Amino acid sequence: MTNMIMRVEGARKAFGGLVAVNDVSFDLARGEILGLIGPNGSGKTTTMNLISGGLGMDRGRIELDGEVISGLPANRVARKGVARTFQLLRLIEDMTVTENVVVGMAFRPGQSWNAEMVAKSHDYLKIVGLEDKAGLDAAKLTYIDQKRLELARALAMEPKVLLLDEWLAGLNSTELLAGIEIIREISRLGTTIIMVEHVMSAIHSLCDRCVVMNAGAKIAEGTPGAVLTDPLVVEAYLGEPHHA
Amino acid sequence: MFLYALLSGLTLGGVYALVALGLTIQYGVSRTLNLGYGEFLIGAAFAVFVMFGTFGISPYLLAIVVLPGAFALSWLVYRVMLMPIVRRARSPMALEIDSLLLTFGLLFAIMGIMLLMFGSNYTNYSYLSVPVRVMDATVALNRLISFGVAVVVGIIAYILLMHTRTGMALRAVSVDPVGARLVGIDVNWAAGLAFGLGGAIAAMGGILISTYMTFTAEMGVIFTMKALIVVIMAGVGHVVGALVAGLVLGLIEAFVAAYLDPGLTVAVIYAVFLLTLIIRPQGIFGRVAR
Amino acid sequence: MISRSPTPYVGILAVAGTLALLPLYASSYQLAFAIGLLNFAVLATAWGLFSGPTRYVSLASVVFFGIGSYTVAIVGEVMPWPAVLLVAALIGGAVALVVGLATLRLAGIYFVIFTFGLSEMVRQLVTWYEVNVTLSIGRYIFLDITQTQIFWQLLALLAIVMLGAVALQRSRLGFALRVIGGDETMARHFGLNPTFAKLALFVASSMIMALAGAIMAPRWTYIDPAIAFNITLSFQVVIMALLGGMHRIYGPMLGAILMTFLFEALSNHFPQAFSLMLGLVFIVIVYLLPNGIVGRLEEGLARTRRKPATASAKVGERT
Repeated sequence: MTNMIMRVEGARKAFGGLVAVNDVSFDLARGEILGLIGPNGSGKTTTMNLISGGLGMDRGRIELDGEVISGLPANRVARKGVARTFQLLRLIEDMTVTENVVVGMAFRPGQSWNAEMVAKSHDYLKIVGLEDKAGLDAAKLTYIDQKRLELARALAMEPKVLLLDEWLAGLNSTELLAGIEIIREISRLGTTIIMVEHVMSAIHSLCDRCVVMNAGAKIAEGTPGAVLTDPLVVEAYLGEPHHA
Repeated sequence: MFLYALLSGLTLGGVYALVALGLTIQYGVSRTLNLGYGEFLIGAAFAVFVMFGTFGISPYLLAIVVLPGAFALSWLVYRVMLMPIVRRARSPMALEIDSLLLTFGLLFAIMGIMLLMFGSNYTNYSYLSVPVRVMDATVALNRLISFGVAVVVGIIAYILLMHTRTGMALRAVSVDPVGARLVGIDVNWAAGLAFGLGGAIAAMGGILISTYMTFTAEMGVIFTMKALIVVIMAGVGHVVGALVAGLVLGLIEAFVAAYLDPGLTVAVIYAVFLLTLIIRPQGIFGRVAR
Repeated sequence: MISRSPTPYVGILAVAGTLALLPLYASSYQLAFAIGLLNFAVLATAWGLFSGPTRYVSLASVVFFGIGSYTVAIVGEVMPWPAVLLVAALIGGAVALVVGLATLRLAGIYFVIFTFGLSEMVRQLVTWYEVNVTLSIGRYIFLDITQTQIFWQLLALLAIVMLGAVALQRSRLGFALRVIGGDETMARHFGLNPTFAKLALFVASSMIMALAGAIMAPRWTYIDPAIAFNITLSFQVVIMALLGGMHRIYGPMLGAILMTFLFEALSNHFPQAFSLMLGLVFIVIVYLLPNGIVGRLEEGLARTRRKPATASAKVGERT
């Protein structure tokens, strides 16, 4: 299957006695948007951390473009082509917007250190709609703009796979529509995306496929329309009380 | 030789355990590392030296005056010096660096005052340095008493921490400051109390040591260092661990001095410390932080 | 961030070139004072180079300084002087590499504690070696190196360190250090290896300190482990860098100048009060000058002319 860009096989991670991710497997096709959904505490963010190398796996393997990336530290995984945003924003607040984007570019393999990076950073800022604020300190941005900046920084890595961890969370309805358009544009430009998301409308309109997790395990996989009507999925969402 | 090393290791280790106990209470509960800790020990040693010389009262009895003094001073150090920076701290890292620098300042300030008062000479006095036979070896009585007192104080501290309401509050803050606040424990009160207790315990260590060791105004740093090594090896805030690791450190020091070379004690202790840091950075008894 | 402007380089060279004329006019007392000042300026700048961006407070300065001095005491008479300096720098770098590999993965607090005790350990090891192997505790240094030559060497070293610091700040490694200082976990996810970057800087900074120790060694004629590895020096270096302010390259140097004058005045009038003063300065820094004197001055400047936009200046470099 040459169309496949990433394969997760039997991933498992336990914290003490709690198995956060239990034998999860899925494939990711080149160019698609995969939604990773499930109730709070179902192991979605842990799965993202396993892929990006932020956490080590207990068992299983992850391949990117035919290369095993599981077991590599986060910095090596990043250089192989996996970029991410963070659920809680992690910008460097005393750096400018431009400088924050350069963070994403400067440590790519083969990148030389030159002034052209500053010019190039504007292209990424343009995609997320931040080109007018390039000179501001990141701390001065509004919440939505800080989210845009996180995204621009991840894009600046020119990743093969982009991981979005609840990037749409906390936006109001207008911002949400704009956010969905940005993700659609990124996908159109050729980036493969895995997104952890709770906003159902976004999942419906963006995702080609969804993997549904509950209590650390994968319980369903398919198009958003199919999985969201799956009785198992409905039970997982409704049957369990939401707890943060 | 073996028996001698064992006895001197135990008496030394008893004091190390005690001194480490005080530091682990301070550091564990307040989360601010007091690098001026050893100055309280040396300060107490000088206080006892002066009062013993002037009034001829037994150094052990002088504890009645010195310990409350050390408690009050340490409590003030936390309330007056450290609380303002705890309040203004923007991140745990900033607080960590600020409190380090501030207690460096404390270290040099107290040391400086002692230097002005007593100079940098080696000081000692003689009290109960009568030989006692223990099995086949001779030990000075003051060393034996010092070990006994260290054990008693250690046990009392343990009981107070484990079985009283206040002790439980202190432990709660040490384990989880945010959670402790939620159940109504005043974290600043707890940290101040822990600082006072730690200071008093350090002073006790100073009194014990002064009866049989020569000391100088500049020696506090060495005790801070050794206590720190014990605290970190044991796992920060771990009371029993600090007592055990303190004893072990004393034994290592005595055996290295007896069998290897007295000039290599620090090097060996340091090697053990480094090994712990590499293999178990959370400490031998500490739990992995999530 | 990225700048090729030669101005700072030219400035540093011009100032160093002018100062090089000083031995022609200065008395021997003034020259000795200037040497002490330059030495601290080198040490504080080197310290700030590593500790500024990483925020790892190192108390190991004297370890590397002492290693440099001891290298001179041991091989000073059997090798040509440049080779002696090279050996000193290499030994300092090697020790820093070992220490760094063991401790830089750990949280900052462990690093402080470890470096805190390191000088004591090294002092003891060297003492043990001298007592048991060479059978004499002190060493004499008889080298034909004048005060003026020491001054010129230190000045050259300081100039090189400053040039290097400017170059570093404009380099990818310098940028990487700012990112690591901001958020180390995040940095990893963007392809940065924080341990490597910190290690590289720690080794570089330690080599400079070892060089300073080597250059200073001929001043002493006699050294023993207690002189060469006296931890007070480490604290002095920390306090100078912090007093000046570490977010600017010239901050530590400014602190070194001020503190050297202060120490000089104190040791002439109140030789006993040295420790107390050191302690009080630490306390003053924490409460009143958290970003050093440079930080305070910049705050003052910003307040007096709040109007001009700083956006364009921000993209430029920070020297």
